[in-house]
Amino acid sequence: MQTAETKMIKKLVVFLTTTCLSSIPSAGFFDKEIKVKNYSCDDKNKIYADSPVIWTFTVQKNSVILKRDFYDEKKLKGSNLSQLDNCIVIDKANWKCGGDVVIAPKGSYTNAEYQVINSKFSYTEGTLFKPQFCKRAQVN
Amino acid sequence: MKLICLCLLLVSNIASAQNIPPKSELDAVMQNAVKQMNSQMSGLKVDEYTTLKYVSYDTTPPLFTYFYSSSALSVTNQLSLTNAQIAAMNLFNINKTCTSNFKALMKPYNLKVAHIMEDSKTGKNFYKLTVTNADC
Repeated sequence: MQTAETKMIKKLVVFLTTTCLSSIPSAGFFDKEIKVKNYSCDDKNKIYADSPVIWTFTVQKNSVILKRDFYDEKKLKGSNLSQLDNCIVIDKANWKCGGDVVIAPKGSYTNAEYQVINSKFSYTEGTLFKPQFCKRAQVN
Repeated sequence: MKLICLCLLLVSNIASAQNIPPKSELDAVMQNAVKQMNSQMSGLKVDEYTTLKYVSYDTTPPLFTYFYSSSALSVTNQLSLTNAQIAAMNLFNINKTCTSNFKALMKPYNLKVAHIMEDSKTGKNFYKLTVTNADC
Protein backbone atom coordinates (compact mmCIF):
# COMPACT_ATOMS: atom_id res chain seq x y z
CA MET A 1 0.00 0.00 0.00
CA GLN A 2 1.32 3.39 -1.03
CA THR A 3 1.84 6.07 1.50
CA ALA A 4 0.49 9.53 0.99
CA GLU A 5 4.03 10.74 0.52
CA THR A 6 4.71 8.24 -2.30
CA LYS A 7 1.50 9.24 -4.07
CA MET A 8 2.43 12.87 -3.81
CA ILE A 9 5.88 12.24 -5.27
CA LYS A 10 4.39 10.29 -8.19
CA LYS A 11 1.96 13.10 -8.94
CA LEU A 12 4.79 15.60 -8.80
CA VAL A 13 6.92 13.56 -11.21
CA VAL A 14 4.05 13.27 -13.71
CA PHE A 15 3.30 16.98 -13.43
CA LEU A 16 6.91 18.03 -13.92
CA THR A 17 7.44 15.67 -16.84
CA THR A 18 4.28 16.87 -18.58
CA THR A 19 5.13 20.51 -18.01
CA CYS A 20 8.67 20.06 -19.24
CA LEU A 21 7.77 18.20 -22.43
CA SER A 22 4.87 20.43 -23.37
CA SER A 23 7.06 23.50 -23.08
CA ILE A 24 9.18 22.29 -25.99
CA PRO A 25 7.12 23.01 -29.12
CA SER A 26 9.17 20.90 -31.46
CA ALA A 27 9.77 18.00 -29.14
CA GLY A 28 7.20 15.95 -30.96
CA PHE A 29 5.80 14.28 -27.88
CA PHE A 30 2.46 16.03 -28.28
CA ASP A 31 2.37 16.21 -32.05
CA LYS A 32 -1.01 15.50 -33.50
CA GLU A 33 -2.78 15.87 -36.77
CA ILE A 34 -4.18 19.30 -37.42
CA LYS A 35 -7.93 19.34 -38.02
CA VAL A 36 -9.82 22.27 -39.48
CA LYS A 37 -13.56 22.60 -40.05
CA ASN A 38 -14.77 24.61 -43.03
CA TYR A 39 -18.33 25.84 -43.29
CA SER A 40 -20.26 27.30 -46.17
CA CYS A 41 -23.19 29.70 -45.88
CA ASP A 42 -26.39 30.32 -47.74
CA ASP A 43 -27.22 33.59 -49.51
CA LYS A 44 -28.31 35.12 -46.22
CA ASN A 45 -25.01 34.23 -44.58
CA LYS A 46 -26.54 31.48 -42.47
CA ILE A 47 -23.97 28.77 -41.77
CA TYR A 48 -24.66 25.20 -42.85
CA ALA A 49 -23.51 23.99 -39.45
CA ASP A 50 -24.23 20.31 -40.03
CA SER A 51 -22.41 20.18 -43.35
CA PRO A 52 -18.77 21.02 -42.77
CA VAL A 53 -15.77 19.93 -44.76
CA ILE A 54 -13.12 18.72 -42.35
CA TRP A 55 -9.49 19.04 -43.36
CA THR A 56 -7.00 16.76 -41.64
CA PHE A 57 -3.32 17.44 -42.29
CA THR A 58 -0.86 14.60 -41.89
CA VAL A 59 2.85 15.33 -42.01
CA GLN A 60 5.12 12.59 -43.28
CA LYS A 61 8.79 13.44 -43.62
CA ASN A 62 8.84 16.49 -45.89
CA SER A 63 5.35 16.16 -47.30
CA VAL A 64 1.90 17.11 -46.08
CA ILE A 65 -1.16 15.09 -46.97
CA LEU A 66 -4.55 16.77 -46.85
CA LYS A 67 -7.53 14.54 -46.17
CA ARG A 68 -10.95 16.02 -46.75
CA ASP A 69 -14.08 14.57 -45.18
CA PHE A 70 -17.36 15.89 -46.53
CA TYR A 71 -20.38 15.95 -44.24
CA ASP A 72 -23.96 16.69 -45.14
CA GLU A 73 -26.57 16.87 -42.41
CA LYS A 74 -24.02 15.35 -40.00
CA LYS A 75 -23.46 12.31 -42.24
CA LEU A 76 -20.10 11.56 -43.81
CA LYS A 77 -20.67 11.69 -47.55
CA GLY A 78 -17.17 11.14 -48.83
CA SER A 79 -13.46 11.62 -48.37
CA ASN A 80 -10.42 12.16 -50.51
CA LEU A 81 -6.72 12.78 -50.26
CA SER A 82 -4.19 15.04 -51.90
CA GLN A 83 -0.59 15.95 -51.35
CA LEU A 84 0.07 19.64 -50.88
CA ASP A 85 2.67 21.40 -53.01
CA ASN A 86 5.53 23.67 -52.16
CA CYS A 87 5.95 22.54 -48.55
CA ILE A 88 8.50 23.53 -45.96
CA VAL A 89 8.37 21.10 -43.03
CA ILE A 90 10.22 21.51 -39.76
CA ASP A 91 8.09 19.08 -37.82
CA LYS A 92 4.43 18.18 -37.39
CA ALA A 93 3.76 21.32 -35.43
CA ASN A 94 5.58 23.70 -37.76
CA TRP A 95 5.14 23.63 -41.52
CA LYS A 96 3.92 25.63 -44.47
CA CYS A 97 2.58 24.65 -47.89
CA GLY A 98 1.36 26.49 -50.96
CA GLY A 99 1.57 30.26 -51.19
CA ASP A 100 3.62 30.01 -54.35
CA VAL A 101 3.37 32.73 -56.94
CA VAL A 102 2.54 31.45 -60.39
CA ILE A 103 3.97 33.59 -63.14
CA ALA A 104 2.20 33.87 -66.47
CA PRO A 105 2.97 36.12 -69.45
CA LYS A 106 0.33 38.73 -68.62
CA GLY A 107 0.42 38.65 -64.86
CA SER A 108 0.75 36.45 -61.83
CA TYR A 109 -1.36 35.00 -59.04
CA THR A 110 -0.78 33.37 -55.68
CA ASN A 111 -1.95 29.96 -54.63
CA ALA A 112 -3.56 29.48 -51.22
CA GLU A 113 -1.20 29.05 -48.29
CA TYR A 114 -1.58 26.62 -45.40
CA GLN A 115 0.61 27.26 -42.39
CA VAL A 116 1.03 25.70 -38.96
CA ILE A 117 3.22 27.38 -36.37
CA ASN A 118 3.41 25.78 -32.93
CA SER A 119 0.35 23.72 -33.88
CA LYS A 120 -1.75 26.78 -34.70
CA PHE A 121 -3.25 26.66 -38.16
CA SER A 122 -3.62 29.66 -40.45
CA TYR A 123 -4.82 29.92 -44.01
CA THR A 124 -4.39 32.57 -46.64
CA GLU A 125 -6.76 32.52 -49.59
CA GLY A 126 -5.28 32.34 -53.05
CA THR A 127 -5.90 35.10 -55.55
CA LEU A 128 -7.09 32.88 -58.38
CA PHE A 129 -10.69 32.60 -57.28
CA LYS A 130 -13.05 34.00 -54.71
CA PRO A 131 -13.20 32.43 -51.23
CA GLN A 132 -16.14 30.07 -50.90
CA PHE A 133 -16.21 28.93 -47.28
CA CYS A 134 -17.59 31.58 -44.94
CA LYS A 135 -16.17 30.16 -41.69
CA ARG A 136 -13.10 28.15 -40.86
CA ALA A 137 -11.95 26.92 -37.44
CA GLN A 138 -9.22 24.69 -36.10
CA VAL A 139 -10.73 22.00 -33.90
CA ASN A 140 -7.66 20.74 -32.04
CA MET B 1 -29.10 27.39 -56.88
CA LYS B 2 -26.00 29.29 -56.07
CA LEU B 3 -23.31 28.71 -58.63
CA ILE B 4 -19.70 28.95 -57.71
CA CYS B 5 -18.36 32.05 -59.36
CA LEU B 6 -14.75 31.75 -60.30
CA CYS B 7 -12.59 34.78 -60.32
CA LEU B 8 -9.96 33.83 -62.81
CA LEU B 9 -8.59 37.31 -63.02
CA LEU B 10 -5.33 36.36 -64.56
CA VAL B 11 -6.82 34.29 -67.31
CA SER B 12 -9.36 36.97 -68.04
CA ASN B 13 -6.57 39.45 -68.43
CA ILE B 14 -4.83 37.11 -70.80
CA ALA B 15 -7.89 36.74 -72.95
CA SER B 16 -8.74 40.39 -72.99
CA ALA B 17 -5.28 41.36 -74.14
CA GLN B 18 -4.89 42.19 -77.79
CA ASN B 19 -2.50 39.34 -78.47
CA ILE B 20 -4.08 36.19 -77.18
CA PRO B 21 -1.43 33.88 -75.76
CA PRO B 22 -1.28 30.30 -76.99
CA LYS B 23 -3.83 27.90 -75.62
CA SER B 24 -1.14 25.98 -73.78
CA GLU B 25 -0.92 28.91 -71.37
CA LEU B 26 -4.65 28.81 -70.78
CA ASP B 27 -4.36 25.06 -70.18
CA ALA B 28 -1.62 25.52 -67.59
CA VAL B 29 -3.56 28.12 -65.66
CA MET B 30 -6.83 26.19 -65.81
CA GLN B 31 -5.17 22.97 -64.69
CA ASN B 32 -3.69 24.72 -61.70
CA ALA B 33 -7.10 26.26 -60.98
CA VAL B 34 -8.64 22.79 -60.96
CA LYS B 35 -6.00 21.50 -58.57
CA GLN B 36 -6.47 24.46 -56.27
CA MET B 37 -10.25 24.28 -56.36
CA ASN B 38 -10.36 20.57 -55.69
CA SER B 39 -7.98 20.97 -52.75
CA GLN B 40 -9.87 23.83 -51.23
CA MET B 41 -13.48 23.59 -52.31
CA SER B 42 -14.56 20.03 -52.92
CA GLY B 43 -17.39 19.20 -50.57
CA LEU B 44 -18.57 22.77 -50.52
CA LYS B 45 -22.29 23.00 -49.87
CA VAL B 46 -23.64 25.40 -52.47
CA ASP B 47 -27.27 25.34 -51.46
CA GLU B 48 -29.67 23.39 -49.29
CA TYR B 49 -29.59 20.32 -51.55
CA THR B 50 -26.40 20.63 -53.54
CA THR B 51 -22.72 19.99 -52.89
CA LEU B 52 -19.80 20.61 -55.21
CA LYS B 53 -18.02 17.28 -55.62
CA TYR B 54 -15.13 18.44 -57.77
CA VAL B 55 -14.21 20.28 -60.94
CA SER B 56 -12.26 19.13 -63.95
CA TYR B 57 -10.67 20.60 -67.05
CA ASP B 58 -10.26 18.92 -70.41
CA THR B 59 -7.84 20.52 -72.81
CA THR B 60 -9.39 19.29 -76.07
CA PRO B 61 -11.80 20.84 -76.57
CA PRO B 62 -11.29 23.19 -73.64
CA LEU B 63 -14.01 22.24 -71.20
CA PHE B 64 -14.34 23.22 -67.56
CA THR B 65 -16.80 21.03 -65.68
CA TYR B 66 -18.49 21.35 -62.33
CA PHE B 67 -19.66 18.06 -60.80
CA TYR B 68 -22.35 18.42 -58.18
CA SER B 69 -24.16 15.97 -55.95
CA SER B 70 -27.77 16.80 -55.14
CA SER B 71 -30.49 15.42 -52.93
CA ALA B 72 -33.16 17.55 -54.65
CA LEU B 73 -34.88 14.60 -56.33
CA SER B 74 -35.17 12.45 -53.22
CA VAL B 75 -36.30 15.39 -51.11
CA THR B 76 -39.08 16.17 -53.57
CA ASN B 77 -39.87 12.51 -54.32
CA GLN B 78 -39.15 12.97 -58.00
CA LEU B 79 -37.45 10.54 -60.35
CA SER B 80 -36.39 13.25 -62.75
CA LEU B 81 -36.65 16.97 -63.27
CA THR B 82 -39.66 18.41 -64.99
CA ASN B 83 -39.16 20.39 -68.21
CA ALA B 84 -39.93 23.58 -66.34
CA GLN B 85 -37.30 22.78 -63.70
CA ILE B 86 -34.71 21.99 -66.37
CA ALA B 87 -35.50 25.23 -68.19
CA ALA B 88 -35.14 27.21 -64.97
CA MET B 89 -31.84 25.55 -64.12
CA ASN B 90 -30.54 26.10 -67.64
CA LEU B 91 -31.42 29.76 -67.47
CA PHE B 92 -29.79 30.11 -64.07
CA ASN B 93 -26.56 28.37 -65.11
CA ILE B 94 -26.30 30.20 -68.42
CA ASN B 95 -26.78 33.57 -66.75
CA LYS B 96 -24.22 32.79 -64.08
CA THR B 97 -21.67 31.41 -66.50
CA CYS B 98 -22.07 34.22 -69.01
CA THR B 99 -21.64 36.90 -66.36
CA SER B 100 -18.60 35.23 -64.80
CA ASN B 101 -14.98 35.64 -65.77
CA PHE B 102 -15.33 32.58 -67.95
CA LYS B 103 -17.07 34.74 -70.51
CA ALA B 104 -13.82 36.38 -71.56
CA LEU B 105 -12.32 32.97 -72.29
CA MET B 106 -15.22 31.38 -74.10
CA LYS B 107 -14.88 33.20 -77.39
CA PRO B 108 -11.11 33.35 -77.96
CA TYR B 109 -10.43 29.81 -76.76
CA ASN B 110 -13.82 28.27 -77.48
CA LEU B 111 -13.96 27.33 -73.82
CA LYS B 112 -17.11 25.53 -72.73
CA VAL B 113 -18.38 25.27 -69.17
CA ALA B 114 -20.41 22.23 -68.13
CA HIS B 115 -22.58 21.63 -65.08
CA ILE B 116 -23.30 18.02 -64.21
CA MET B 117 -25.48 17.00 -61.31
CA GLU B 118 -25.82 13.52 -59.88
CA ASP B 119 -28.47 12.23 -57.55
CA SER B 120 -26.87 11.79 -54.14
CA LYS B 121 -28.93 8.66 -53.49
CA THR B 122 -28.49 6.73 -56.73
CA GLY B 123 -25.37 8.30 -58.17
CA LYS B 124 -27.07 8.76 -61.52
CA ASN B 125 -26.64 11.99 -63.43
CA PHE B 126 -29.96 13.77 -63.75
CA TYR B 127 -28.90 17.12 -65.10
CA LYS B 128 -26.25 18.22 -67.55
CA LEU B 129 -25.75 21.51 -69.30
CA THR B 130 -22.83 22.68 -71.41
CA VAL B 131 -22.65 26.43 -71.83
CA THR B 132 -20.90 27.74 -74.93
CA ASN B 133 -20.12 31.23 -76.14
CA ALA B 134 -23.17 31.08 -78.40
CA ASP B 135 -25.41 30.78 -75.33
CA CYS B 136 -24.12 34.10 -74.07
